[in-house]
Amino acid sequence: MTATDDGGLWVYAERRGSSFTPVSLEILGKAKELSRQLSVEVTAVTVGNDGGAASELQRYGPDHVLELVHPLLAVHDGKAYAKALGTAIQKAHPSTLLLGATRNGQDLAGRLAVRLRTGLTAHVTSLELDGGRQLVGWVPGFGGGIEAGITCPEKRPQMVTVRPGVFLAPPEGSPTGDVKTVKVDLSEEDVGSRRVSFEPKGSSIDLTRADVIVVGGRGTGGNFGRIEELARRLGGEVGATRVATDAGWVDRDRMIGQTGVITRPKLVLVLGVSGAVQFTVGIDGAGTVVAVNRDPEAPIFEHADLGIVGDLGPVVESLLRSLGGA
Amino acid sequence: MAQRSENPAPVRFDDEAWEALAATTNANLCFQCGTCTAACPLAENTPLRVRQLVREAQFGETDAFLWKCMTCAECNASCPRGVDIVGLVRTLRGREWRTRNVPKGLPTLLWGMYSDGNTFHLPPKQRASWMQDVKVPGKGSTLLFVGCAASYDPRAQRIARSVAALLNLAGVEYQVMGTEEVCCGEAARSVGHDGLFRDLQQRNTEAFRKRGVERVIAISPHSFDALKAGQSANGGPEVVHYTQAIEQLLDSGKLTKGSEKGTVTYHDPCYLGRHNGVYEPPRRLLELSGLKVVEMGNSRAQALCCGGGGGRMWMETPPAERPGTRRVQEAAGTGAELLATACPYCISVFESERGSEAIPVTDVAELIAGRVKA
Repeated sequence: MTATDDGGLWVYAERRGSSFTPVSLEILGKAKELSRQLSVEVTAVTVGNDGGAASELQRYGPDHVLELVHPLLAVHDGKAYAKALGTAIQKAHPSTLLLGATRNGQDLAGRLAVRLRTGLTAHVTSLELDGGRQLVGWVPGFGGGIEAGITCPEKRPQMVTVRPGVFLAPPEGSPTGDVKTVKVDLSEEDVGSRRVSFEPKGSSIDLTRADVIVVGGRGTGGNFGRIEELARRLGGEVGATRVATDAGWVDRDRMIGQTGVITRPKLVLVLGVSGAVQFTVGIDGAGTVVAVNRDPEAPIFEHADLGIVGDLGPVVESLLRSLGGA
Repeated sequence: MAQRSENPAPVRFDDEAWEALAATTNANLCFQCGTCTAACPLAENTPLRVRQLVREAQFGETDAFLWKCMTCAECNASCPRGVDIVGLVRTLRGREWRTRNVPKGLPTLLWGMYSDGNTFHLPPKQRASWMQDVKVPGKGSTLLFVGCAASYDPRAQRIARSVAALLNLAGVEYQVMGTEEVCCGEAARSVGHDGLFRDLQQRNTEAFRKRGVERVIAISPHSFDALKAGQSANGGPEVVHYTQAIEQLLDSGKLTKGSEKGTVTYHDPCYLGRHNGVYEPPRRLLELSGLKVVEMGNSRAQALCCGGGGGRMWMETPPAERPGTRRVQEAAGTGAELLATACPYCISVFESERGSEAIPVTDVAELIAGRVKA
């Protein structure tokens, strides 16, 4: 397809259980904003074995919802999903397709770009128009040292996968748009994988997406009960330093730092942590850092927006009291 | 812990890989005596077997546990054939970069070194934050090379401030590069990325030339080793470790002994000791403070690695495999009141892996600054 095609702006709404991945709603909001500048319509497209989830999408302001359904599409399969979505795109000629950069979204995007012979900008952290009808996807390069603005000038659709959490999902409104359900033409040979069984990973968590993290270190002495309570009241997750992880106080998937997870929460409470750089590199992207430490000379205070010098126990109790509730 | 397969697949001799290896290493000298495995501190509690790694290399194969090596050089020191096994490990790792078959986290490390000039992915403009209120003469042909750890790590910044204070006390003229300093590249060399290592060396060489530097004092033994290798290859300035520079000040009478009482044990950093044979200067400096030095069983050329070399600072090590924990226990076992060393990596590993051992960990420079007189 050439750069002149314009069948509007499509957003791939990736289903997760009976709902959608959060990033699907985030990019739907962004698509709405871009569509106003482009004067085109937004279509949210879903793929699955049935319709029915469309009413949730309608609350996020699309002009159309397109459901591509087939019994073989019950579970994400890159090959089958790419055929279903690719065929629909070749019919409707959207000029733009946004996908969330989830595992499945990335899998699908790569396959689609090849199938449609177009370009793909992967993992963008911001999106804008170049003044005309061309989308510029900004991608951090060299580990954040530079940003590259990538365009797709010759081919359509211009495709982008968007990193989860960079755009805000719009507030829910009254339902908009029409819903169209299309039965996809598919056979067994189009499916590359088969689900044998499904077992959730259980306690595994992803701190990179947490908005609030309460981190405990050596200074907690292993007393994580109240820290968990604090995290719960703040609607956040518990994180830990390497020392706290080694001591077995907290699972290793919650370890933050150089050999652990690099996080970007909006708020991080750092309790009883000295502030070695191997830890602080894991919270450099945080919005607000609040540190509590007994030692006023602790290096963690150099990284904190707000520092409290004092014993952890009383400080945590008084924080819990001021948060109120049970 | 991962285990070796009981029945490994048959290996075919890869002539091409072997010739490439023979051209860049001296692994052909190995006659498989196994002394390296016996000397390796990881043989005890990891599946890495150095002899096997070398044998596999001779067949053009890559050992499954190649990345566990800390490049501590105990094997090099014990090899009766003079095989540079550390060099071999770096070369084999370099081969893995071509197929991107490298541990998680290492590409991020290298991008940080490439784009930000440091190993922490922190902004270059923060590189001088170690200085705080330290006054640097900012003249003369001697340059204090601070290195990434002592520039950015608040714990290690104290080492840099102590070294600067000692040089100031003795009235030495020297300069620092501040925000213009870039990483020495040692971590890139350790993880096998020779290209980035040479690129950073080149940037430093040019900076040294522009500033008229004739002598470089390095704070980290890793910078010391890497800059020494790079500068002697490029005909650049003389490179010394700070313990050597301060020892000279002691010998020339510019610093005199303090009157501290107590005992200290000294951990030899691999890149200062085994890699460069600097054993005495740090010990003489500790005595300068008035403290008595108590030796650990494994000291000098037999010193046990902390576990932070060879890029291991950027790869997680399961607690059961960490030599750092054993080393702090060994230090505490001497009964000394303090554990001193002269490397920011050793310090951060010991601080993190000390477990329940209470012995304070300190750098030689921190220990003697404030305890010696001009």
